[in-house]
Amino acid sequence: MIKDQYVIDKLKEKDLRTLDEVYLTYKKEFFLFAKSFSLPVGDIDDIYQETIISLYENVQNKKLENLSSTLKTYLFAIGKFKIYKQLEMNKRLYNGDKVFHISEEMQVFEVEIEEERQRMLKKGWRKLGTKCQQILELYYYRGMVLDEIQTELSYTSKDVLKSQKSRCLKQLKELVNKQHRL
Amino acid sequence: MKELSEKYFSNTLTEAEFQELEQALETDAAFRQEFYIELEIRQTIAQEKQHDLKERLKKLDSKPVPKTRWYLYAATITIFIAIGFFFFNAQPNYEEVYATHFEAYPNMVNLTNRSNNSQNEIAKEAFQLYDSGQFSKAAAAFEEVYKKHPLDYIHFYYGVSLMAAGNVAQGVEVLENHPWQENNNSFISSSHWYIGLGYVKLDKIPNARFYFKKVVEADNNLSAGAKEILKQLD
Repeated sequence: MIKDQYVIDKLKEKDLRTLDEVYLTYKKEFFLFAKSFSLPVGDIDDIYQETIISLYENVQNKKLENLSSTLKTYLFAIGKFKIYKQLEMNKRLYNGDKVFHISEEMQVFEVEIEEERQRMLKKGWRKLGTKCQQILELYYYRGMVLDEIQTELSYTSKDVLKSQKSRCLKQLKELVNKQHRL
Repeated sequence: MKELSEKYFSNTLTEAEFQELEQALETDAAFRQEFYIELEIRQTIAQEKQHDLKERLKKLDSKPVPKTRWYLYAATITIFIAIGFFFFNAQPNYEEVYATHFEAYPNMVNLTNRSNNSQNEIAKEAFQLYDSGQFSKAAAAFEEVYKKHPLDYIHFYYGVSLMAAGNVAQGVEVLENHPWQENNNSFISSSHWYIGLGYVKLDKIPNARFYFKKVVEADNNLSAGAKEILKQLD
């Protein structure tokens, strides 16, 4: 456990070599675990890489600061959610024909995005101005609250930032929807 | 509701609040729709940001990573190159395997730094001989060092130097009869790899196969190479 927390602390410092080590350390065991669900090896590769990346993201966005289990247990819980997502074994919630996958254990929601929709989202994102990208990235990806973003990006008031964030969101939605109409 | 969603994205929800959020999503269609889009955006940004990391991880599967005992690793690579050359030249059938190995092991050798590590001071002279390709002298030097400092990695170099110097049978014997510490897996595999190569050279293919299979089973950075060689031996 102490060693596991040390690994987490190294990841906080963005030490990617430590991440490499984590990747190699649990790979074999994870594959054995995933194979028991009869997943194709190619899929397991993807899932495992995404699991390791999620671990790293959770450390970076402060979702994970202190381990309350072993690193392996934590990692496998992320992985299990991803495997279940693929096999549609998770708890789910529907929004019309759209699906939310839910992990209460990891406190995570993930949505299913069809390839075509994903492509449009990406295109929209790339067309969005840098300033908007920055705000949305800090908010949605880095896990910062508005107060922190205000400091980070030197906004004079929280309200200004708030309305800027709403504008960015609206802009992005429009950029994505515009492609629908083309 | 807005507050719950904000807390979700800043990872500050309590367990009770997470349940509350789930409830809200079930009951409030407008909120559900809005939250869905926000999750789509989160996942899109993540995908954009993850690209480099993903590539990095993919490469790990084909490349060795410097380990904590990187000095051992660095020297091992030199030996790979030395031995690879030595054996595969003798066995023209394996030219292809040989080439593959060269690609798989990039030159990370920085042996001058090794003196920074006090543990290595004791073997410095032997390593210098080894680095300069004087394997026979290196073997003798490692043997001497090992008498005073019975460390696994010194013994390992002793055996490998013997092989590189052309005393393949003796080198194999040295590596094969050593009680490697069980907790040092990467080390054991490296030894098995050399023993396997030694047996190829000695034309004892069943023995070679035995050791290459062990390397494959160990599932490390050498396994792919061992698998290749096994194919060639069939």
